[in-house]
Amino acid sequence: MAASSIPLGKGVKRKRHEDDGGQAAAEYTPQTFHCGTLLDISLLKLHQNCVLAERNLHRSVLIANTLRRLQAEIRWENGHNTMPSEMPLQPPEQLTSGANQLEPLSKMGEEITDLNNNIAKAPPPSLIEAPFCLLSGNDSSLSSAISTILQDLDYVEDLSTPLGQAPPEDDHLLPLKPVSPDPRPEPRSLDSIFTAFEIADSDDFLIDGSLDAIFEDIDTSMYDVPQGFPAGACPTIQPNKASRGIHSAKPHNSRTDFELENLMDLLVG
Amino acid sequence: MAGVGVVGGSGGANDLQWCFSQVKGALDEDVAEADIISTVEFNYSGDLLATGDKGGRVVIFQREQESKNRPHHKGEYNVYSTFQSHEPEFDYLKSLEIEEKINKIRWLPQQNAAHFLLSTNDKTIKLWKISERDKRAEGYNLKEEDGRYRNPVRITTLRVPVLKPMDLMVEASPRRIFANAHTYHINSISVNSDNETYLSADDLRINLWHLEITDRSFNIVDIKPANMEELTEVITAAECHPHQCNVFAYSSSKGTIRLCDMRAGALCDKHSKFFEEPEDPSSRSFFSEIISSISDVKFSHNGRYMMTRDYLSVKVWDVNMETRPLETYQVHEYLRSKLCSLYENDCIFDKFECCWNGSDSAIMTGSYNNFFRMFDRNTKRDITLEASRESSKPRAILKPRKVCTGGKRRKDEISVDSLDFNKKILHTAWHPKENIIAVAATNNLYIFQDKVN
Repeated sequence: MAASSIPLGKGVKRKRHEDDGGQAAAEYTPQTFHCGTLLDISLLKLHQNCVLAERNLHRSVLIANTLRRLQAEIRWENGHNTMPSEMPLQPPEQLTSGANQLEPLSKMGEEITDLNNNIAKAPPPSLIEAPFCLLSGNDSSLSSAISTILQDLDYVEDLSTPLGQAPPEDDHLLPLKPVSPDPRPEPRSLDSIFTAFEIADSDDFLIDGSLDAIFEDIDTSMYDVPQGFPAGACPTIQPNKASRGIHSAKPHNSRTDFELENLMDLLVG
Repeated sequence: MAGVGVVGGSGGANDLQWCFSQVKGALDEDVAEADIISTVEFNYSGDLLATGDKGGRVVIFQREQESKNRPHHKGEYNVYSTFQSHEPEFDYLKSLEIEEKINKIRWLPQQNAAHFLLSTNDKTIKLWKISERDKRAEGYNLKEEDGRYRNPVRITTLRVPVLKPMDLMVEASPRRIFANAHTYHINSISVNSDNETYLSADDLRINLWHLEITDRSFNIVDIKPANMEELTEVITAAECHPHQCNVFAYSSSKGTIRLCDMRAGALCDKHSKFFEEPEDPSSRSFFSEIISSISDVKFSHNGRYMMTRDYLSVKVWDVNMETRPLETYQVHEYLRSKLCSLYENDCIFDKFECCWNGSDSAIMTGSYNNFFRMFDRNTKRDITLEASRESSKPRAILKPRKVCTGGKRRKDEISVDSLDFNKKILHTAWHPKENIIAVAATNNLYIFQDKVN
């Protein structure tokens, strides 16, 4: 595809190169799919992610956001004329540097602040318009999909940490973040997946103990012996390993030897 | 390079042609998970090329100098050093395994005979010193030659140790270990232009480190909400400005880029510039957000532009214009109609990287079926090439590839449905000065060079 300096979708058709030989234009046949199927797929992925040892937060966030859109779509399809007002909203005047705002799925025309308190755009009308919906299932299949969601969300809720448990403040440097309003039951259980990523006292190990503060201006990492969990540098890995066992036997000599080796390093280059 | 199109194409007397140069890695069809290359990076001079893999190993290739003995091997990259950078660990607090996979390697500018690089897995960053040793000291006073200590009482004379030549040995030693600063998975590291600091970014935080200090780092960005239930956006990549040591950029999973100035405050949650392209309502779908998630952000060498990679396209931004990208290049638009399948098989979450050439006139990124794409910003030409064993004859010119999206399929074209989505090129690198590129295809590293007509 040719480079384009025109923003996408501004009414300009992208054309193939002239020298392509007049081949038939690209046929983009969008895949039709059931919302319910997508919901099932998304939930399965989310559960797999929670179970996986890796616990990819990025992936979980993307899938969860997709799920929220699907939920909104299904709700609209079920005859809700208004936008889902139960979705948790952050008041625009609330300065939450660092707090994430939800997708602007709120009432039409209302200004929503995003990650850095910028006014986000109004939700695109295409999300709620009929032509956008690719559903082809009937009401009963939707109901069963929703039931599946609720059951699965209950399952996820059991596995996660108790709801309403606010994570501890992370760092004294950070501004205090305002408490969010009570979320709805459904997104709460969906969101509880993220509470599983919360680690209690996660940053305790970032703050040194009082004893270490005495030495905070001295980098002693070069002298740390790699036992268990090294906090600094390791001694140089020498190609000749014969002397390694001797170091532990005579500690006073090991330091002298280490200094000597450093000197030799300098000489040898 | 003036006047020469960097991207080859059909016709054009001055067009570049890319040739196969080398391929590294096992030839076996069975690919060991540990051998999958996870990062590729040239150093500042281009003489060294580092790769990291899922097994936590780093392999450094060095470009051979021209020599009379081996005239045909000028410019070949051969193994210089191999070492185990990271080992798998177990976090007992969370009962989670920490992968040893090398997420990123970044070279430090060379300041003496030794080379330094930063390598990182999900949790820990390490500074490695790669140095050559061709002399050794003999005749210690306190030690025997085999390393045993001599009884100091018995030493009656002193001598000066003598330097004797030895076979060249390349040593890699960990000089610093920067640990315990990231709760979430590290996705980026970037060395600052001040040569003293570097930043590391995970899903929710960005930290600034001093290269000499391992026991503390400064948190400069934190997007973690007070209530994790509100989390809808994560940090996907971050990079320091190449010249302005106070400026850095980070991208998000919602397709936005924020430029921050560290002089503004200790915490850079308020951005200086906010880059976002308005979404096209006609192409909006359930997958719009996922495909808009930025997987890589790179400043141009001159610092005037930024390049971002999302799932289907590469965009070049002027750092002075926040409203829309300067240029947009479609990498594989034919996949837009397949997003549902790609969501199902998880390919939609693949994180492709992108890179600039040395003069910022061309950009490169990977795709599926071992295809990779190059775009010339001046001529607006683009080309699709393939990293395959079939076209791996020495100095063989790479033939442009084409994907057929519908209608009649020409002989040399491949249809979208025939693409192999397991063969993905996520990591590529471009030599900082010459037209030499390194392309990682699963467990193989391909090196291609130019051949000017």
